[in-house]
Amino acid sequence: MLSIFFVRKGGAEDRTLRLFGLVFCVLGLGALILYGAIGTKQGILSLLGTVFLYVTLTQAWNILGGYGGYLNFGTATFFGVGAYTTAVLFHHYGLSPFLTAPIAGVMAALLGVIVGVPTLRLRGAYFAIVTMIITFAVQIVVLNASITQGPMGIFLPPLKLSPLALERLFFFMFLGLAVVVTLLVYAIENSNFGWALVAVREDEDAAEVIGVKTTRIKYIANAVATFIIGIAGGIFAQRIMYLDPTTAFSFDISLNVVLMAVIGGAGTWQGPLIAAPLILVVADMLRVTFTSEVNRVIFSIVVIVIALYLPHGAMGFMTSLRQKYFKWRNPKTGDEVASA
Amino acid sequence: MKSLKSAGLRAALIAAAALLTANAVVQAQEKQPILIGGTLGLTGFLSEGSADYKAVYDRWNDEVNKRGGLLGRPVKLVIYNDESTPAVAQSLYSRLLDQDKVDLLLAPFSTFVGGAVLPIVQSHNKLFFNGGFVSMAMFTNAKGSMIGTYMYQEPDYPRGLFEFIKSLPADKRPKRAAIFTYQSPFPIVVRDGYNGYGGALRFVKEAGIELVVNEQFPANTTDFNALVQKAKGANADMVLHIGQLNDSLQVARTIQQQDYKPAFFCTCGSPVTSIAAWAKLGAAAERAFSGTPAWPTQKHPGLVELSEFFKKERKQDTLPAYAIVAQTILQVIEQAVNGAGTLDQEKLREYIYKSEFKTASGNIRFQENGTPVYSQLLLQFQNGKNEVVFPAKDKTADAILP
Repeated sequence: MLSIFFVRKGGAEDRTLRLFGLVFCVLGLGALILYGAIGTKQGILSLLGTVFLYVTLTQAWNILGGYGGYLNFGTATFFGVGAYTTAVLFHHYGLSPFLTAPIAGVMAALLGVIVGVPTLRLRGAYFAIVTMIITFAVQIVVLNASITQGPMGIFLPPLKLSPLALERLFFFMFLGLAVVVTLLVYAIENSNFGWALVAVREDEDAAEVIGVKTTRIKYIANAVATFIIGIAGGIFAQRIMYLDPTTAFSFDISLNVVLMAVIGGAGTWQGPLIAAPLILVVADMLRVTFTSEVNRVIFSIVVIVIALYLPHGAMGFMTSLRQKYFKWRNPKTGDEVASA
Repeated sequence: MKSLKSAGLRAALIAAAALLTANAVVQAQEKQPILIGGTLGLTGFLSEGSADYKAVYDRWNDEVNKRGGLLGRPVKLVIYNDESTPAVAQSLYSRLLDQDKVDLLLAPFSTFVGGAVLPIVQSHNKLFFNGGFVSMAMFTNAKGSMIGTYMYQEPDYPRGLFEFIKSLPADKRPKRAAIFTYQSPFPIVVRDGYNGYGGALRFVKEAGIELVVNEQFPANTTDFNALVQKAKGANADMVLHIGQLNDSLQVARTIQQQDYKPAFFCTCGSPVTSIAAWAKLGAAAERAFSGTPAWPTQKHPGLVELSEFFKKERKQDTLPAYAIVAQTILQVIEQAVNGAGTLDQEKLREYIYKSEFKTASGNIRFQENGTPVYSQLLLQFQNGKNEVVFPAKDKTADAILP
């Protein structure tokens, strides 16, 4: 059933597995839609809504961070800008965040381009550090700007829906967003654009030499990713109903996204689908049964273990299982199939 | 005839069994604990104050159950850790309301977290028992569904100090003020006031004091040298620090390190001089002013016992102001539920607004926005402990002024 995670390309056996994977995804999505429609446990609907939000953010991060290899700690910057765009437009012009979410995406993408031009020339740790610093810089601007109400934050009015209907609404909004973004990332992974990004990740100079327009590729990837993150932030503002600079630009958002990508497997479309629910559901269970701080200890240990033994995350582990499986099924051609 | 008798007997037996079962179900329901839920920032930057709240909550939970619970049912507190994070608190309040289905709801600690939670609580039409934070805007917005036990709201935080200053002879009053404000909703309103009422800026102006420094600082600031240097350079003889716990400690330390001796130094945001960490500052803690809703010397109901509990169990010589507010909200809940004889939110609300409550903060009545009538004591930290220096009727020592 988990064959979707083992498959990339190959022969007849591979196609069968791919079909199983597709069926698994469709059934899983169907089950989620059904639960969203008939489920009445608001806590679970709320948790799943957050899972879909983080799937969206991690998939968006994946485009430049996973496929392109640019370790980005700035997700919170674009998320916060998106959230504040819809909140400010509501506060000053009374426009619903659901209508202005695309504008939030555009604003975040615009900032992404402005920030990306100088920063995407940097590589490795320098890029990571700069993206982190930009979050703090933007947070300070928002904290001191009058249009954003500074530290007072912005209240958005509750929607006139029952609490259950409200949870359902955001469940489906974030589920829809997660599905669309996952399909987009899947398409990127299987496109020339995706291969160009992988080439940048593996060796940027060599990619340039063979004709990949690395700068343009990176700018486009960054703009697409920040656009998606901005939209997610824009909708989040209506969900949380009170926006302040500390929450909207919390470094925890950036850290969680990187954590999910690393644990799930950066540079794969399946990685965020594994890690986001795993981390958020376990964290929620620990929070209400034991203590919150244990979450961080546990996930820190998990990241250390993954960095040491599974550098490609859960997906890397599954891929190695897949290789062993094919080798076992077909000792003569297994290697060939597995590496296809 | 025989069959009639046997049919009648059978019917009577069935009826008796049904009655017994129904009675057992009702009894079982009645004996189910009353759930009172809330969150506290037990980790993160609000953990120190939250720990005081938790200690008071746990103590009350034990004691109320020893007294037979509420309405004859045991009481169970469900307090989650919100990690001092609004988004986490939101998710936990959804859980408390929708999954745990708590009967009564306690507010989280701090305005920062409370602001994010209030819309969720309001959407469930629950009373919000708030011993955790102040906010004039939120009380107004809640339209009486939030019952608060802070004896004064943000615009009145510095009021005790300025009433004290007004009582001093002119030559003892400060001339030049410096204000440092933490960039967060609560401190900003403490400084600016609310809808033209109160606030440190207005109090300074009304007292005829020249404002020479008015600076804000963001969260996580750890170096206050520049701010303190600016106040010192401007010859401010009064420093009002409107912030949270950790930054207040840092500012006190920096003032001492720079050998700066303003005549008046007030931690006019959080009431920090009564937390355990303040006493550990040593000389840097001395002569600092702070407000508090009540003090054990007033001997309000439960206050002396609470103070003893903190000395014995928590090894804290000073009773934190947070503990007083927490105890007060629990006393209000207990008296309201027992007095109204129900958990019905509307009936409780009705009872609360027409009753007087005997609490650790004194005898209190609630105004129509859910806040109690203003009352504040001014503390000054003298020779390693807090003394009440204002108002005169509650004074335990004279203020030390240069």
